[in-house]
Amino acid sequence: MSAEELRIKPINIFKPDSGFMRDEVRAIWTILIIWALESYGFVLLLWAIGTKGSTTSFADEAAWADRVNLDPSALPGASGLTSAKFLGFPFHWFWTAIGMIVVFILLVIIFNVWFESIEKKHGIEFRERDEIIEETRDLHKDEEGGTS
Amino acid sequence: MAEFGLETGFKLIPAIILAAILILFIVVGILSRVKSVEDYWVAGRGIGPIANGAAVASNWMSAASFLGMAGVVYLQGYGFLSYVIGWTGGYTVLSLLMASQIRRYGKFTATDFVGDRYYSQVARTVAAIVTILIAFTYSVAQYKGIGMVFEWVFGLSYNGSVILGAGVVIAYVMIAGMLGVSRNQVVQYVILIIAFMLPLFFIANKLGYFAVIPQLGYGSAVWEIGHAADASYYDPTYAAPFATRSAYNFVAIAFTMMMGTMGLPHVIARFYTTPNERDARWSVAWGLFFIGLLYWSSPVYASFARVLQEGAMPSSDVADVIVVSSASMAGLPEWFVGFLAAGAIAAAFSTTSGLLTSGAAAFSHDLYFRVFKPSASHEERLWAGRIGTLILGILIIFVALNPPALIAQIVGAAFALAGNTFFPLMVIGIWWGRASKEGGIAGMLVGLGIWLFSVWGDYYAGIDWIQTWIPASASSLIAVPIVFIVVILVSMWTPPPPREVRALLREVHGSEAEA
Repeated sequence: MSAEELRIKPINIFKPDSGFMRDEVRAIWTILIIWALESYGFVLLLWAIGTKGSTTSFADEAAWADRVNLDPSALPGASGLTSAKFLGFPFHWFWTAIGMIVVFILLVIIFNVWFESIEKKHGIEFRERDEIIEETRDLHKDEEGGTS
Repeated sequence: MAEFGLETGFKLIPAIILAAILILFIVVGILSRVKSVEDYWVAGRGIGPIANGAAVASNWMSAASFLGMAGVVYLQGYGFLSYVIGWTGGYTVLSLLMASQIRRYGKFTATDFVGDRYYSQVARTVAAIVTILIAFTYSVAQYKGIGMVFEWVFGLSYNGSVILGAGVVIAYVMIAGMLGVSRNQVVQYVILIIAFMLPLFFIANKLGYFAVIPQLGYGSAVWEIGHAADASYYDPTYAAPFATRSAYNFVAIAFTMMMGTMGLPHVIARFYTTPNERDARWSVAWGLFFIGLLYWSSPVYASFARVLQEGAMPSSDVADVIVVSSASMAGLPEWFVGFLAAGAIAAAFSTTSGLLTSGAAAFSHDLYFRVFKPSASHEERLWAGRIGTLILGILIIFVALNPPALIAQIVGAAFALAGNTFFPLMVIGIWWGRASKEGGIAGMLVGLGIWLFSVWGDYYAGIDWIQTWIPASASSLIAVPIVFIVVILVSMWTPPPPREVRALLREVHGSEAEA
């Protein structure tokens, strides 16, 4: 391929075609998989091992009053993850409402550090805003030249 | 049984606090009046990552986070924690797939990105219309929040409160452009998070839970609600995972909110305001942490409200102001509750101003300037933006007077639209250089079509299977894969993008292909 052909070769996340992009895409997939497992993976696990059943909605005061007869361990989704106590919480609540968000933040931090090390490895400098604005302006000047 | 409705009548001290905060916003807005068209959109691109993170959070934290989130969790417990994870997890993927690239693209708005990447006025026009629809839907929920809190503060009717609140919002947005908004968004974030978190310490203390960190201390409240059969507030469906919402519904909402996060124009626009891409990435981390502080706290309000109302049946009438009413039920002094209420208004204000600005920018920049009148002067475009804001701001009132659902759900519907249209276009546009303009346009139209169908079927026609499988606030789980397939198939059948677009994309990735 000529230099010009390489310059306009379409980007494809499934076929990274430079050392930098291969490293970048590897980092992205790794973090993405951890992200999916700790959030959706957990919810699916909760569903898979939990009691199965249909949802409840309280139509009126009489139905609401009957809630005292409900057994928590017979409700949909009940399992060891919901009956275990963690810092006072039912474990599944703790993980969903607190733990997941902590992991979301940590994953962003890990990715940023990882990405910066990839940039460093490949000697890529990030550019300051004015350069980028100037460059994109130049690019679009040509395009708009015809229409305006 | 405790009273959980809110007292009516005019409340002087909360009204003064509210007025003081609003005047403060307007003064800051006037001090930083807009100077140029560019400033109006992106605040001069001169903000560091922590401040930009706070601006991301402040822009993000709307009536839906402040009021709506606690409201839905209060009603249905774990079943609606899908909103908590949905409104945080998207940022992680945003930082992986888009933050640096958007920054490197150096465009002003999401519509600009779509218009340029898909090299077509048609794509730009559809994107501008979608942006306006998102701003519209999102703002309906904000107006509802503003209306309900104004109702409590001023003792007005709901309708009167919505109209009064809308008038103040529009005036505020018209005065300050995004430069003013952006600078004081840091101040707004600080006021907002203090107003939101402070009452929790007192409520936790009063109820006898661990009050040093109520965000951990409320665990026992959740446990008691779910397991203590002798407690008046016992309701095991609150804590059980899929007792109130099905697992499908949970996953569909969480997924939709995450995809929507990555497609929301006012979120994306925040990444153009950083000086460089490194700051853009760290803005995500800071922004998510600042947002996390609020979302760790929302379920605390929900759970404490359940305990405080001692077994009264949770009602959707009060759900959207449960944050304010639980502080009131806990016996906090009126000025304190007033401060909290003012925080809710501040949240709704800051988001609405961002939305009206991006909606107006779509109108003035993308429709008026780019499509209708390319010769428009800066002055003319600024005026088009202002008139756009005014029209949009007024039209929203009509829907907000009869809101179709709870605050979180209406905002959820706006997320669904962003997730069905902008998200696929942005991700495919950035990561697949072969995506063509025909593919992009077809994908956007299909995403918009599915969204319109789900909103109609869920809110207006009340069709059962639509409400179960593609509710207005959770259609992305179905729509995103369909839109991806449409974009890819149509692109394969149509000519590849011109060489300039492919070359630009190479630069956006900072990656030269190796031979």
